[in-house]
Amino acid sequence: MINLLKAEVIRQTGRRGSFFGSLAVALLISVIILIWVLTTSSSPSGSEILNNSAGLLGAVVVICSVVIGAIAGAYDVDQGTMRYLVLTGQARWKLVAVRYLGFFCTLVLFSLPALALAALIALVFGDASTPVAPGDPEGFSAFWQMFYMVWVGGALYGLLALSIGTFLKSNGVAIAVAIVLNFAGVLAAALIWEYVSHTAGDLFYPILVGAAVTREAQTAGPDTNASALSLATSIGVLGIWIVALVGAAVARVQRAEY
Amino acid sequence: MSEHVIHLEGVTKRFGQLTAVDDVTVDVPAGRCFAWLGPNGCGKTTLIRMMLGLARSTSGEIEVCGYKIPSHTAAALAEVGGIVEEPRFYPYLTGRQNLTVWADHFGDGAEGRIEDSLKRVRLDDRADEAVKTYSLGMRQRLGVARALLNDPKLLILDEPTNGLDPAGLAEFRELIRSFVDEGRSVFISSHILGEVQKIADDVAIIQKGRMIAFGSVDELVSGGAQKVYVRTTDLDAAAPLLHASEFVSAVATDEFGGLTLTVAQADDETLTRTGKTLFDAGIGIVSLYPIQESLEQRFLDITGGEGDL
Repeated sequence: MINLLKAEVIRQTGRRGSFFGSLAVALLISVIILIWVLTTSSSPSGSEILNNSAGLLGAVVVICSVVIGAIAGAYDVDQGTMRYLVLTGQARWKLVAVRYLGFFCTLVLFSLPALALAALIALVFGDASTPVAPGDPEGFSAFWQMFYMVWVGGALYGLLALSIGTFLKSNGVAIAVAIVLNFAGVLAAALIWEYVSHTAGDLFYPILVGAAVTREAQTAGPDTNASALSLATSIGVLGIWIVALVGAAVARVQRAEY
Repeated sequence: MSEHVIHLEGVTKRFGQLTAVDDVTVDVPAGRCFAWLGPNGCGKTTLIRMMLGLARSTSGEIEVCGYKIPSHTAAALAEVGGIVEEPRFYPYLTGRQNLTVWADHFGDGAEGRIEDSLKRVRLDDRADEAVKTYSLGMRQRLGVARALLNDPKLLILDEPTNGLDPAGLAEFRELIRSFVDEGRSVFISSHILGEVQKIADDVAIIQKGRMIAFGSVDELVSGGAQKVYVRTTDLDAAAPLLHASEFVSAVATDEFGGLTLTVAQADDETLTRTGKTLFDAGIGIVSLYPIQESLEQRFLDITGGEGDL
């Protein structure tokens, strides 16, 4: 399995457009944060820098993850290499499983430089009254929260995109559908919350991902304090979504003819 | 391994109303080069995909290297290397990186065979260039290198000579024969009759999904019409004379003044009788020889001219 994972990471990071493009865009965000820190007159604290970085990098990394995930799901069918992977005799479920694991590795690899730069900026330029360093409770928490929010958000949206990509035969279509579904999901949840059922609206994937990323119960409705689900329930339902998405992708590959 | 490397019995594949492969039964002998011959769209690739577990048959039994497909596909694939339709790779990786990716999937010492495989197909000097810079012929050769990574007993190559130039074709023929010489079995599909005649030991002809002939290449070719070509000093006298001879069943005249005789057997005895008949009538002979029917002519005979390639 380690060899399969190594091969998958080589494949995903070797797609220079998506991998290095994502790495560059994420780094650009960190550079923008640096410029903001150097030019603002408000002397932000380390925690403030980290929280802002988490928000900005989180948004960018989610979009990049959707693109990389969708390509990871669709690429081998699009390029005709899937049949040669199957011809190696490896179990098809393993081929799918390493795609997900490989994607998580790729996510860390393309986002880590930007996250490290953001952390460095907070450490070096944060207001001295609230230093960010191990031992400082507020800064330490913000430090880990930035990594948590960016990686969990990217991983969950990328997982959805990868599963969608597995059902499609073209990289371009997979990217488009994954992006549309990610954003349309929020809209659909809001409409269902409004016109069908508050609980049903709060069961939508993006709402649950929001709960997991912020570690607070979220709702699809306008009143953000009126979630129909507790955080624990949201995480539980999210788990069901993940199992269903991965299971559907595995079933698809198991049954497909190449 | 059994003496048959592939066993197919009543294999059928339908796509809705279309029958792509129709009740194919054949035993492919081990240690030889077997060609699956037919025009484009006749079901060659579909059959290969079923044999490799890439597609399911509608009915029938498939056994590859002694393992039933699809129940023991993984065991069968451990002994098989293949190219299906065309060799596909990750274009942004080098040839060597591509083989490393597949070796990681094959496991079982495959990584240690990368260099040998590259040398075998003469790609070792270009192995560090991105595959997107390769010609189709180079990708075909890299496909063969990949197929060799698991040291297969059986190579299944779908249209392997597509895109090869004349020099590449000759090189590829040598490569295929070397695989057979070292004891591997080779199954190729092709629509290029001349190539099949040069490469294969055995051939099956497929038309509209059905296998309509099967045997060694020599048997198939010799089973065709027997003909003798003769050019004389007096065409007008020779034609009716030979036509009246009991050993000639038909005479055709060509635009160069030659005669093509259809005979029972185009052997030395027939040539001698032809010469004697003309000599006794005082007709001079310019040339006289048996016509060796090509596999292409034989293919057209068998398919009734419907299997245009």
